[in-house]
Amino acid sequence: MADVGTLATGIPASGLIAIGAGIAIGLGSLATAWSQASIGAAAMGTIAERPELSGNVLIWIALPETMAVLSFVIAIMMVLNMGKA
Amino acid sequence: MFKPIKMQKVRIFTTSSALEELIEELHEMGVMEIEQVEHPELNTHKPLESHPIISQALVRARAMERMLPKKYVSGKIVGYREAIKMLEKLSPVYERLAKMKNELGELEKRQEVLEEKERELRHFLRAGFETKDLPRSLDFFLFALDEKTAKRYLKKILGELKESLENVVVETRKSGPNVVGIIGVEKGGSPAMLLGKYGVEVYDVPREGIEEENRKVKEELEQIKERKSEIERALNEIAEEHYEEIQTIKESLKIAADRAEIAARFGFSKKIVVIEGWIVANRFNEMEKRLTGLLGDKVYIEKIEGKNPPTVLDNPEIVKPFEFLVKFYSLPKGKEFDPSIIFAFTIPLIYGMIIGDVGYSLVSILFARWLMKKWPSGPVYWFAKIWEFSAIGGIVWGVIFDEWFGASHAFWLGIAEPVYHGLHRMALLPYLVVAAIFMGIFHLTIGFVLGAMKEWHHSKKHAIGKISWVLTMYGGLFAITTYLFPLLPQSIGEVGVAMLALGVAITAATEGVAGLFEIPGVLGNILSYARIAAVGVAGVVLAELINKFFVPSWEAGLLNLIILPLFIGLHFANIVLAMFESLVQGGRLNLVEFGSKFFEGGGRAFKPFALSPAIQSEGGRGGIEGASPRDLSQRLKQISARGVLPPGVIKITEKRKGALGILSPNKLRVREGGRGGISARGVLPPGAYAQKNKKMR
Repeated sequence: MADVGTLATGIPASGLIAIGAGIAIGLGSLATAWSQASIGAAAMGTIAERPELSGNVLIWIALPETMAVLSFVIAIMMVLNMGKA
Repeated sequence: MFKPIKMQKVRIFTTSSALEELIEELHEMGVMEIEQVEHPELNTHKPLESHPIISQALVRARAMERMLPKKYVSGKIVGYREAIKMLEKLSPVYERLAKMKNELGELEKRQEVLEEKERELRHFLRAGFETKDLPRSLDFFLFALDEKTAKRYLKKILGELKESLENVVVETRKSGPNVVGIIGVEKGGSPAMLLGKYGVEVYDVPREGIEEENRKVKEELEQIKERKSEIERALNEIAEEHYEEIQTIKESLKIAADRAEIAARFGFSKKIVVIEGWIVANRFNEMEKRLTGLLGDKVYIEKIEGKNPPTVLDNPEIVKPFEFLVKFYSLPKGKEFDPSIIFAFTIPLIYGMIIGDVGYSLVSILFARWLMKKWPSGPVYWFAKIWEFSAIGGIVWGVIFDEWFGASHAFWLGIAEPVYHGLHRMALLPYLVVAAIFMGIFHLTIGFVLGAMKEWHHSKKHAIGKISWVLTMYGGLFAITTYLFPLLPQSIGEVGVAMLALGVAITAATEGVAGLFEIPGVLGNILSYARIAAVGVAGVVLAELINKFFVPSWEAGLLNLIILPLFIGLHFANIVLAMFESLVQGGRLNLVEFGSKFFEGGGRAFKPFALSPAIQSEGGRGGIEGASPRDLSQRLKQISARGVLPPGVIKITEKRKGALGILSPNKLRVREGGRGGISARGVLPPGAYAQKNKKMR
């Protein structure tokens, strides 16, 4: 029996899951990119004034990547469930 | 190894009469970081009385050194009184040098003016202007416009000239792409202001003619050049005669100035002087023996309690690159756990799992070696060293994943049946994510245990709180794997739930409700390890795409001329990307997720009061810029002869263009240097200057 989503859109359930996974990772990555842009700009300013903070700054720049990684985990979980749909 | 070297705070009492000798001894030993003494009954912030005289003399010696052409000789070290006497004797030389330098400056200024004039005159000569027979009733001026200015403003300038000056006569001619002109105005008038608005300079017309003027300019330029070379020859002669002496004075005074200045950190009473600072704990006896041996009962040393000791990390040579990484992030505090040795295992492990390709790892070793050759010291060297070391992990994981430049060994060997079946990352991605998360849990467990060990001495409650996280993590893991993914038997799930509940309860009891808000944070930390799989797979996909479209083959024929460079270039780009990503992500997991469980950082490096000849300790830079390998060799040998380095340490390979000496506790390498100069840099162990040298007095 087809589910509600499939009935409404005509797209098979696995297709809807794939689109959902894509949106999950896409939005997560965009959010990461957005944060990294602001942090990156501030970080360059910091390094220009206090080069000794380069190490910490690199870590701050890498921090928002967690969002992309978590989206990846969500996407993977969705794709793994594709077979069951 | 797991903790920085143990430091001891000491207090030294001495008499005012013995102070100079004591400072000298401490400076030569180079084992003590001297701190500011603060006591209401002691007079502080007071350098030695000799400080102003020494500083003044040092300024003069440095000025003399700067005035002379550079020579790569090293002076001896003498006492400051003798150095000042030597400097006084050189007073006539200083006066002569100052005069010569002044004259040289004046000559250079005049030369600049004349060269500019010569350039302008060349334009007028080329345009064929002759000014000898111009009427005396008018004042004449010359001007030149470059191509751009002429195109934009010439018409405007001419119009404005005619409007603002009466009876003005203007003639312009082309001189190559430029325009030159002659302006005649009534006596007393001048077009300088008007042309100045457009950034154009005007010149008085040489009444004797442009050619004659040009000849005169050239003649004067010749004279200036001749005089300059005479002065330079004289400077060279002075350098030949006195440079070594000036070096002796400068270096001796520099040492004396450091010694006089350090006294500002001491505490003075009428007769007693108090000195406080830190030393490496196990050098206390040696220091006590030496100081009392030298000064007898004029000195008394005691161990005192001190907070916030400076940090000296102590790791085996192989761990040094990871020690650099720790320092790069933040230096551990003096009594804190030093994670360098753990990083030496976990970074290659995580790095290897992300890069996971035999071919890529082998190329990254070569690339890292090249980087180390090109930058034999500094951050690039250490990062390359980490890459080189971590690539071993990449090779091991590459064999496990059966990845050789993004494809199976069977693909490159052209065999249908592979020798072995690797764990293909793309096909097993979900398992890889789970494996990465398990690895994260294990890694964080070590972090929490280290955190608990750190807290144990300060607060047992917080230490237990750290351990409760381990219970929570494993309880949650067993519960999830039993109830969400039915992989474990029910009984283990029940144990998991109990562990989870107990862990959460202990956390709440030890860290308060605020501790419970940390649960999503720790969950985020665990899931963060999924990046090992994510970043790794991204690299694999890129490599597979390159192999799909750009593998050279016999069938491609001449097209291989395009395909081959693309194949190599794209793979190399992917390798560099993978190297950076793997290091940044591996470093981040270690420093943020793992490190935040126990590591505090914010320590300060141990900076002993020590001699600093050409090469400084603790990663300092020094050396002889622009020196040839031979000069460097001689300089280093002189330093070695002073007892700074053990004999036989220095080996220098001479290269064609220049050299860069790298000094480490075990070896010295001299390499071709960049940017037209060389310098010797290196890291010496603390107290490397401790060798006794009575000549320093």
